[in-house]
Amino acid sequence: MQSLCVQLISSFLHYNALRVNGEVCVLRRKNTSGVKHVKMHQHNKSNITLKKQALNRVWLYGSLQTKKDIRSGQTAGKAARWVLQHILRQFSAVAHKTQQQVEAEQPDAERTPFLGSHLDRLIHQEMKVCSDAACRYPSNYNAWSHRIWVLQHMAKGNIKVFRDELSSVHPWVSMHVSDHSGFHYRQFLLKELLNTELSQSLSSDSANGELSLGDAACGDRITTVFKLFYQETELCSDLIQSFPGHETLWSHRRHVYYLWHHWRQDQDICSVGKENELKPTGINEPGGSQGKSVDRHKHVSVPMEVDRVSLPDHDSKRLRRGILLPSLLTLQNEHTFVNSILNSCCNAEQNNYAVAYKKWLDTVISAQSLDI
Amino acid sequence: MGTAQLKDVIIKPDAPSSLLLDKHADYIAAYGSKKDDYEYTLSEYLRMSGIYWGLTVMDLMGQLHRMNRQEIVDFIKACQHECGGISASIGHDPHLLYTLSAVQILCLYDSLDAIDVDKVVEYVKGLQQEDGSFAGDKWGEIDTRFSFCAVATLALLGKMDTINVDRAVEFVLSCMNFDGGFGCRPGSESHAGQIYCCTGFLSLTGQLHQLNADLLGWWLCERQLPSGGLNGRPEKLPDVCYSWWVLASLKIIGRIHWIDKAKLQRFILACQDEETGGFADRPGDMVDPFHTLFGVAGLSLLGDEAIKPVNPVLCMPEDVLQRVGLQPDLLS
Repeated sequence: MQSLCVQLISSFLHYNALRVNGEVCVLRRKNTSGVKHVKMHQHNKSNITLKKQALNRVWLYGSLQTKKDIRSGQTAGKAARWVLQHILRQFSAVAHKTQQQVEAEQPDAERTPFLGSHLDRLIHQEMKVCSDAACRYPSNYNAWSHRIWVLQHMAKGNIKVFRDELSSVHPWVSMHVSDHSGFHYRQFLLKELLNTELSQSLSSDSANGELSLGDAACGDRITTVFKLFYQETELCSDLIQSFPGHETLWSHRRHVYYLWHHWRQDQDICSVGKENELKPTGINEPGGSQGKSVDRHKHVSVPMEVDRVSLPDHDSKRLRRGILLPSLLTLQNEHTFVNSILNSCCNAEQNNYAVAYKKWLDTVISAQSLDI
Repeated sequence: MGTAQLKDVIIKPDAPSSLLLDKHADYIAAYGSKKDDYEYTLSEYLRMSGIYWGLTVMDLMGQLHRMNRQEIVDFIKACQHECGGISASIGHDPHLLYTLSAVQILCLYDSLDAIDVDKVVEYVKGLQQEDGSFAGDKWGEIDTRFSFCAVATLALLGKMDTINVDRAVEFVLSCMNFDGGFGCRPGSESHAGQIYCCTGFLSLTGQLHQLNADLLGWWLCERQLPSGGLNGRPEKLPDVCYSWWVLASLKIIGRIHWIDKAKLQRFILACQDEETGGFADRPGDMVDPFHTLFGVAGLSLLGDEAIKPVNPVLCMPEDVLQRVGLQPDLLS
């Protein structure tokens, strides 16, 4: 049986060679310009272990590169994604077969947990590699976008993975406050968590019809989301105050506030839509993104209760269930935060970014909060 | 408490402040004549793009006649593979990036008949995926850069209708972020280079109205630093090539006046090397043809009359595109 086997053979002047099942595929290692290409041939369709070895070799190769060798990192990333896609196809083929066995009540249909742990280990390994790459080269676009790719393809809807990642990069971003890619990764994680929470609350609402059992679970999810935003905003505020004059931190704040703002709008739409069959008007969604996601880019003309004291019926219902709406995360509080920075800080750049954030709130957010 | 040191450069008072076109022409004309030069050898994997950069900047400076047309056309012929795709150099694998560069070069020389155009079209069409995205080559890497390469190639050949344009547009728009910018794939961070590719793509496909031009324009002009130079993302150093990606994008969306032109011009001029000719990524660094093209092209966009007008979508002289009959949309 032929097998996918990647072996690092030798390192000689300007070249590393990978032997793939007897065929030598040349990677030209260059100090400044990086790698030509990686060729891999898949011969054994079922051997996951060997594919994982291949991944290890790819990353070992990538890690040998010097700090400035961005292209090698790019090529290693490309090769890794190619291998990972093959592994994923195998997983889904095996999982499908397992499902068929389960349905046919066959006794040896126990491979799904085994596959699940394989997947977890793979994800964990890829996260580690990306983390190492991120340390070697600041604001490493390729490493972080590979990290996102892995989660998009291997951890869809997996709340635990997203939460774990949010925790694990927390110390890292606190020590790399200029690393825009690192903070963008947190924005991605938040958005995925929100979309997962949102889709779960939508499906439980539609499954339950009237507000009944789904309510408590829905309430828990809302509290969870509030906590997420509260913690992220607190992190952002702490870092802005501790490290004045970092554009990355203010950019992160815009992202977080935008996500919060539109999540709230979507919550209002979902509840209002359910009770009154009111469809949001004036939506012009580029890119075909669905109305219920937090991916809005255009103005939305829907009733917004962000800053009002008296709450509409659906929010009152939530209050009756004992969930506190946070007093933070209102437009007013954001302006208060900005003013406190402007009043206390003498760092010119910090002042500029604070003013720019204020302008952004006025121009972008307020324009999207039309009352009708 | 840490205070940030703003990531930027300081332009020295004795930095070059006037345009040294003759020196740049001499630099490019001589580049690659020493074929055993170390850097030249190391960059073989992108040779086709290197030739495109050199020829385009020479044409913008009115010096194209100094380059060896026949040698280059023969080289391109030898780089077209059976599948129709074109590689960076002889013996290398074909890729969309180098296919575009080759087609751009042949347009400069009005010699598209040197290659099998139908096969090129077939190659490009074959790289479109179900979701409308484009792979760079048979190994399947997806990136919005490749969407741009695909439509730019086909637009220059007059064959855009061979792909599923609607799907291609859908994919690119799915890469639009909340800040109005674009990343390499859906969910990726906004990046000036990717933004250039996506705005160029939307221009070529007649879909610029899908952009939020004010929002994107704002993000783009926030790339300008106190030195006058432009970076590609927050807290990155300025780089002359971003002076192209950002500036061209602003031109396409009709907001080039949002940038401080005088300061940018000063930065770009400071990136010249008075001794060797050519432009570096930032003042004082080593020059190369890539940054030389984008420095000169950036100055052209800023209105320097010593340089031919450059098209912001395709980074080619406007008169070449007029000959080809291609006038991509721009927002006003």
